[in-house]
Amino acid sequence: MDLLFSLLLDGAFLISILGLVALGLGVINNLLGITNMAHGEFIAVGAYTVVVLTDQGLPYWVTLFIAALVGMALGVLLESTLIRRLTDRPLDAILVTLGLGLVMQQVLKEMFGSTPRSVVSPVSGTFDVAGLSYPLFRITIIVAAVAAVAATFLFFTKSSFGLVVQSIFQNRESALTNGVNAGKYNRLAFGIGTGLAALAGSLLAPNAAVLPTMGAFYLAPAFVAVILGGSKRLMGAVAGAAFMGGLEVVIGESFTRTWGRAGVLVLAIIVIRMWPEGLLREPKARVA
Amino acid sequence: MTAVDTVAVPNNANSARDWISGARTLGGTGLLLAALAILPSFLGPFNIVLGAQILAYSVVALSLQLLWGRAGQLSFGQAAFFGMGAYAYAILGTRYELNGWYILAAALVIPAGTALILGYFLFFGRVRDAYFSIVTLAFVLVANQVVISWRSVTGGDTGLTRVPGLVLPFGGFEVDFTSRNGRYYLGLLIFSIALFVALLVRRSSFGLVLEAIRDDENRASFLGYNTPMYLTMAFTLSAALAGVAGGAFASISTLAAPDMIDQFLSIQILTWVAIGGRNYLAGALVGTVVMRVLNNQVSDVLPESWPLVVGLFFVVVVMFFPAGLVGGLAKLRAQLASRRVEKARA
Repeated sequence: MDLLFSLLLDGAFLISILGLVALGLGVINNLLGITNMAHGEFIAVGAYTVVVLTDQGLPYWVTLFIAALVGMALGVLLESTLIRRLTDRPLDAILVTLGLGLVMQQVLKEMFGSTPRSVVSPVSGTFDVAGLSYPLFRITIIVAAVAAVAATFLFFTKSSFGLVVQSIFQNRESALTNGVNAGKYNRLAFGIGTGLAALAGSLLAPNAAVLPTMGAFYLAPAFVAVILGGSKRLMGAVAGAAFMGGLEVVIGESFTRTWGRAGVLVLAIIVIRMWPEGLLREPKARVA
Repeated sequence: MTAVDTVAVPNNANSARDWISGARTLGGTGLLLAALAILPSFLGPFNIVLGAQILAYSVVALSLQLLWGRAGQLSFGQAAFFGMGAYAYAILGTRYELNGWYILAAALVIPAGTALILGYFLFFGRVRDAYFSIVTLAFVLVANQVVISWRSVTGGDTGLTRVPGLVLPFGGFEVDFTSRNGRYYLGLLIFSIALFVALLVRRSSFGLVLEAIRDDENRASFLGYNTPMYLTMAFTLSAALAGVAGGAFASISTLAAPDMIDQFLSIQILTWVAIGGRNYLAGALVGTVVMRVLNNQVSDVLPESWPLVVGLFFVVVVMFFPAGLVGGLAKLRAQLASRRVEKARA
């Protein structure tokens, strides 16, 4: 019971962070057709933004929003200067994001050094139920991540911007013939994607050693989550993240963390072999 | 048909021209190998080892060129196979008194077998392009984690040191690659074999099918080729070459460390091939030499900033010279040639 409880919460924590990362990756992947290989570095950018701003005395909950905005601004900047020029060479665009990831990682290393930084948890105390306790802060993080995913979901289903994006998902050609300005949506989608990654990093910051390489381990599982979710619906990535994160925690608890990560990826490869179109079936009428 | 096409696709040439181009390739390769064979007499002791390492790195670059340039599938996990070869060599070499051939065979078979299994699941599961790249990236991350946490066998963060050099018995006598020059010639030997294999693939029908798959996989499979099998074979061959390169590298450097099996090395291998020119065998070699020599120079001036230089250089090359250095030169030559033809016509 004790174990099950902490397992559930560990799983929920990992899934909520991974879900945000995968959602951001999925938005970029589905809209621009490229994989942002620098996604992990945007996680680090978000975490370092929180480190710097909380050192200046700003409250943690305020820095979250600023971190997301910083990630978004940086994403829009990179899209409009570099990625935009490579729309007809998607593979080269992926390579460019890979190079950018290296550059960003090194810039962070030169600015902050390679010793881990940390952020003090803004919420202390534990969450006690029937003699079991769990850090209260982690639970607030889970709630915040779920809220962010829900907000993104609402944004893409309710706002006119989101509806246009959905139409591009469904049929890119007919959306463009109907006068959708692809460049604008690409730019914003890239920004939203990187903003979500930075937000994930800022949520992770008080719970992890903040390092320039801290995002490296999220990219691969997040990408697999996007594949598992299928390319037609946005929230598929979150479902994929639930699959990946849940399995990782279960396998990691039974063996070791390394085997947890290795086992998840092996299982994911087998799943992709069996369901190449993704775990979820194609939606009938509504997307998302 | 433009001049660029005739340069890139020599297969439609008549047999005499084919023969000439074959002879030229053979002559060029012979000259290169002869020059490399006498190179150690001009190098200082430090540079000999550096040269040997560059030769081993060139082999892993060739292995990626085979998979990426020829078959069109980009592996971010090439360092995983390189590292598996290096660790197989180092673990067997330090723990057991084995015949050198067995150790070398392990450095080849273990990565190749892994790639065979992985390739089966991926290519037959219709995983291609970016998806394939990311799965291989995940694979190198996992391999790195395993190496770091399996301390009792791999030595963890410090890796394995004092790895013995390779000694290969040939019937009655044995060839010792443990001296400084010996290590260089081990690199040259492996390099020559890899270059031979790569040239063979380029001229074989196997290589042509791979190129057909790269250009249009649907069409290739309509023509009756089992395309997933061809891709799996290319992946396996590529991993075998990378593994041997890793084994040779461990023997040359007398160590195996986690940075031989990490993401950064994978990306570096990719940058060598991309910067040199992904569609050219020579590109892989030029890129490796340029970047390794540059690395050596930069490390002296700015010890920590190498990844920054790699990243920036890589972004610039991909944005502005997508065909790489060798590809850019070939294009220039083709343009000059076509201009000459136009002048002759006029």
